Amino acid sequence: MLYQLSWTILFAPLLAFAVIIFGTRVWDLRSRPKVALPAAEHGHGEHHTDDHDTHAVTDEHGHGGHSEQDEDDDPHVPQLSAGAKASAYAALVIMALACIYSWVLLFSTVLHPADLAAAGKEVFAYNWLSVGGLNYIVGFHLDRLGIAMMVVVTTITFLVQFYSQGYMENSAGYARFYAYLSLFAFSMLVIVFAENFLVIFCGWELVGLSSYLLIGFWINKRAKPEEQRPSPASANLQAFIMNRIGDVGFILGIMILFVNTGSFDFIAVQHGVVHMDKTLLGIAMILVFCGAMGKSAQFPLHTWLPSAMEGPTPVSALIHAATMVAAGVYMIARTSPLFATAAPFAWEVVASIGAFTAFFAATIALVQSDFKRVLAFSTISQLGYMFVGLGVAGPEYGVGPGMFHLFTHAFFKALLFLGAGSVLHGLHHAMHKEVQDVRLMGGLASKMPITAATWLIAVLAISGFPGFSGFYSKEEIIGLALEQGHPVIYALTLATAGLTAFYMLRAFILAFGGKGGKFMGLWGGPYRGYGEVKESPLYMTIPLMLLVIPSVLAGYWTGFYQYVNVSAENVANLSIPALFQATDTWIGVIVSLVGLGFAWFLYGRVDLVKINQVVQSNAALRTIHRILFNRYYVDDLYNWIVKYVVLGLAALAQAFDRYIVDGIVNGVASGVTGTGSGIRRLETGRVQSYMIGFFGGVAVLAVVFVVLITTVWK
Amino acid sequence: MHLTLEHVLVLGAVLFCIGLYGAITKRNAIAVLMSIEIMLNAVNITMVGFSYFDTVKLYSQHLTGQIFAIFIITVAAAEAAVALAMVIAIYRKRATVDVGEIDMMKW
Amino acid sequence: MAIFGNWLTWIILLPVLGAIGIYVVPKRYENAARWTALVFSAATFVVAMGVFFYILHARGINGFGSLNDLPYAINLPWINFAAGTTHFTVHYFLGVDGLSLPMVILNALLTMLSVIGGWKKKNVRAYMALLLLLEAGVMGVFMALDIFFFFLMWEVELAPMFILIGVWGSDVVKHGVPGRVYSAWKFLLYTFFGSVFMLAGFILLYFHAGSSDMTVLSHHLIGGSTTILGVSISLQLLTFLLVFIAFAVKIPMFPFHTWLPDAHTDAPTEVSVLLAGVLLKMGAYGLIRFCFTLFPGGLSQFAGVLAVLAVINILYGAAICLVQTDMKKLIAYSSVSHMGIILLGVAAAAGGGNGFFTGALAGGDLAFRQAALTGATLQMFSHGIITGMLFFCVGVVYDLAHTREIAIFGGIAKRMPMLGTLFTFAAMASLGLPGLAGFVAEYMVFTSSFRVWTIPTILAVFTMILTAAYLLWMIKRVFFGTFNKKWDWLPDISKRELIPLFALAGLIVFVGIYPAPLINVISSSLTPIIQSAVTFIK
Repeated sequence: MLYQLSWTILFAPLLAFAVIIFGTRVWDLRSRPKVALPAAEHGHGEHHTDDHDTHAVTDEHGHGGHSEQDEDDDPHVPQLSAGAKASAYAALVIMALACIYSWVLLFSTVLHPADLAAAGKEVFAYNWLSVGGLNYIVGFHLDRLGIAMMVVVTTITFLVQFYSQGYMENSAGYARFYAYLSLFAFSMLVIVFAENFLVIFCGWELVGLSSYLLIGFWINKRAKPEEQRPSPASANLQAFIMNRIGDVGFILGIMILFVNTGSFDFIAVQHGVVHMDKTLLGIAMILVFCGAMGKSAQFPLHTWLPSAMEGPTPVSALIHAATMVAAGVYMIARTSPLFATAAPFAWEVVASIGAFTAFFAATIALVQSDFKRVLAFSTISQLGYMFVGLGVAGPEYGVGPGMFHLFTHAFFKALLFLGAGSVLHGLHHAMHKEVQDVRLMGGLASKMPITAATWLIAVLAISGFPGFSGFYSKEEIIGLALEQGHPVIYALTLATAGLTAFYMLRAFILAFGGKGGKFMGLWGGPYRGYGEVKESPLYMTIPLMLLVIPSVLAGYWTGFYQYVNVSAENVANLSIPALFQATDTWIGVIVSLVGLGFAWFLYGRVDLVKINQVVQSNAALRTIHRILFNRYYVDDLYNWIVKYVVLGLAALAQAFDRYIVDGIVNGVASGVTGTGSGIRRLETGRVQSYMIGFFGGVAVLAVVFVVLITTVWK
Repeated sequence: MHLTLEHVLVLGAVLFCIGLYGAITKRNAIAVLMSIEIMLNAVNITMVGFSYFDTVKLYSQHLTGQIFAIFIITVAAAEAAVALAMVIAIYRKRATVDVGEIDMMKW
Repeated sequence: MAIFGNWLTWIILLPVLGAIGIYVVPKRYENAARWTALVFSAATFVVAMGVFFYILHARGINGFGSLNDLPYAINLPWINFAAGTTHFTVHYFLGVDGLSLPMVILNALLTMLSVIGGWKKKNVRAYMALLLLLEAGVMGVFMALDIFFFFLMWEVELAPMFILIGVWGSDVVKHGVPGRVYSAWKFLLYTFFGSVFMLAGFILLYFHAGSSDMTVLSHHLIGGSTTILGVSISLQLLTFLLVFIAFAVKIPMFPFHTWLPDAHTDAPTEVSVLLAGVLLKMGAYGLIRFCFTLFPGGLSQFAGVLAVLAVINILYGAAICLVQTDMKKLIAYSSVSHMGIILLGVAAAAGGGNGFFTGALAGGDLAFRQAALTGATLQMFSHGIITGMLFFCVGVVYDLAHTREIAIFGGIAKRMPMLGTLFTFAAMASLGLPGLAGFVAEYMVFTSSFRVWTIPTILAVFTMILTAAYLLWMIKRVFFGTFNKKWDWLPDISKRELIPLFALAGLIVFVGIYPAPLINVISSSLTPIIQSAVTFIK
């Protein structure tokens, strides 16, 4: 019963969404004072259109006003209406219940493993459609892998919703924000509960939709080219389309599996593929992995994630760090039995792309100056680790290592993003504008101690500092890469560990510390911005403090590997003593510590300006810095491809359509009319010329007739 | 030398051609009308000729050809009357009887 | 009389009576004309739904029958002409089954919503009357089961459409004449061009099979071959090609599609809705009802070409959408792309395939073929409601701003939040977001045709990217991003305009979440077609 009713967790956020969209949000909008439309007399009668056209030019220049700009960037209301607050409470209450329920499920399955069969339990299903013996079923099931993911999703969603009460204060779209967050939670849970490829694909696209809506939450916000920041409206477009590119691969993979097994169901497909060609299955799984690459922002489909930082920061924490981007990892874990059946190159591709992306993104993160972008690239890099974990673990560990890193990462990365949000919130209040550049921060630790302390813990966790959760999940993956015989992947992940430690502590010191602060510049120091910065309200700091707990302790859940195992065989669990005894663990720790130490040494003791001078004066460093700062020019390459190749081909097709296809149609038409107008000249109106034709015709016929009579018809 | 059917037919044909030539080449509407009368009479001669020289006596008993000729004469008279009236009407309106200039019915 | 005792007669007759009624109303009572139109279109809709529920009640959701087993029909002799050995009969034969009834309901629904949408049109009496006449003609097309009666209705529908585009269309000059005149003529002549071949095909069919009755014809498929100019061609293929040209123009299939963007850009909003919503479906309906049922042999010979043309339709239409500057033209080309999915489904259902996947499965190839054809039929319905909604949305913008140029808007969701939401919703539905109607058909067609036409389907799937790109890019440029102050005066969508949008949105969500009932209705009618067709597929 406890398990059977778990579908309520799935539909709870949908209920919240419906309540807000059709209820409280309408209430909110109705209670707002009616704004008289400026120049409402416009728009009646056609003569105005000309007016508007002439205005267009002058309007382009009229955008300068600063106060206007802020208003469009993030519209505010003086005070939240009851409807808006009710929206937040509806979402919070429902999500709190779902969260509690999922924790109950987690503890229940840990304490009484026998209650829930390893294969899981179908909790809700209906026949979407069936035709000619093919069944398309919308089915949701619950198993341990799902519960682990569900706990992450509901917990972080709840904390983010709680946090947003502070972050989104007085936002005009307050109710809409909560509606979207609830929609996202529902979509994500669809993926978690999915029983077959059809449902997971549905959830896949729906999280894409929620992500699209939330990135573009500030619909009229402008791009900031000087900071290389796109407008949210472009960022969400880019995110959606990049994800769709991956989804094409995903659906092609699903099709290959479907036409070979006649089913979408994970279990049925698993039974069906044993007869399939291993290479074909491998190709199918790599195509499925393409979907994960898009959603989890793996190279080469990674460029959307940094752009997605244009959304509100709580969204970045929830969707673009902790949960949605990890859906790719979850999906690969879910389909891992198929990967295991396929030819070995399938896992190798997953691990290689993960390792490369981890390293690649980490190098970019080294030099980013945008606070959130550092975190974005760090997310990409950590997701790479998870894929390495899935790819190299082999049958004895199953999906454990990869999923474990997903689990721990979700907490500390959410903490990092929410902390960053707290900083940005404080700075926005201090400077009355949006500031994300770390070069305008510095020394914030003494002004925002709670944020700084929690952030430091998260930095240590992500760097793999012994004792913190990241240590257990990450060192295990790095060690496994070596143990399972992937030296290149090992080298890349090891180097990435050092880079991660370096850039995370760099970001911390640039924001919270600096030369002159305590502990050799680690804590406090000169503030490079202006205005008075204050610690964020409790709405925002409570989730930070709560997230510290799992960021440290999540790593001690040693039964996790077996818990999330989806294959038939048992797998080994994480052994902490063994981890501490292995040499390669300590190699990893040393590399991380070197990274941390180097960052501390450099940024804690040297002025940022001076570092910049050194980098700019050295040609080699300058070049490397420019390449990294421009993210290896991948974005520019994609822009170029879209602008010249895709749109070029489209323009070519358009020209072909207009001048060839339609040209033929119009050509035929004008040919007919042309011939007609030529022939009508024969109608002179003079009877005499008609007579010539008439009698001439008769004469010709007569001659022909006579000739025929005398020759052929004789 | 007897008068045979050939003679009559040649006469008819010659007259017809003269009339045709006139009808096609003359610019004056009256002259065109006169030419048409010649063509009609050429046909009459041919009809009467066939009727008279009919050796089988199949049609001459009924005088079909000759009756046709009388019909044509009647119709031609009516036609001439109508046509002349039209020519006069056109002349009043456009001050010309040149058929080359009367081409209101083109395209 | 028996003819008036059948509801199907009334489905055609009610709109005609309504049109006459509107003309009877004196000119100064414009409101009465509007309400007359609404009442008669609503009555038609009610009757169509009544027929649906009657069949549902009598025979259940899987009992919507097929040609051999019509759940509701009327068949009366109409023209009976005997001269010597030639005997020529045409029947007044109307019938509905699972294939045609959804189209009938769709037509009734969209016409009703169009009447609401066109409430404020200039010269509203004539406009409403012509909308109703159009409805009557299209109803005839979807219900006629006598090939000559079908042909008659096929032509009848042209006249009101021609006038609607030609009189209420846009005045932008194209090729030296007002666009509405150019497009109306282009539409008319193009369709006639196809009709000529269809009539030839029907006559050929009639004199080979000796009947114009669809139920008879579907049992006595023509066979044999004939020689034209020294080339031997099977009669199945020949008649198929003749008849198919008319449908290909209507669908529209590359390279016969160029009338569509012109007609859409120049037609008034409601006419675009009906054009995309039901008139294009006449082509697809004809393809399945006539070509597939009567010439399965010819179709299966042609299926390879059809699959290629379908892919061209899908990708080429989508690519052109990327560079459109006019919102309506963009949606028109997106129709070309989406109708390609129907062609792909039909090609997969009829074709021999390229045989990459031959493994034995439960249901076998037949199941995949049936899923493909059902998906194609569902796409007819869902594309009708989704594109209808998109056109209504564009119409709202156009009525206020008097322009559809994408580039001169920007960020207007600030002033039109409701419309922005609904437009985004419709775009999401069109690009195949799960949970909405567009996804169901797309997913069914792609996953099942993959087994038959593997490589064409692989290529076609890439439309997912292009569709998302062109629709969301358009939405972004019009509704989101930097706000263009020029549009500060725009009011949001009015309550009257919301009615059709909400109605369609509700339907889109329902079909997307629970398509099973609609699929069952459609599927039962397609089973016999597929089974008889499969015998022709080598």
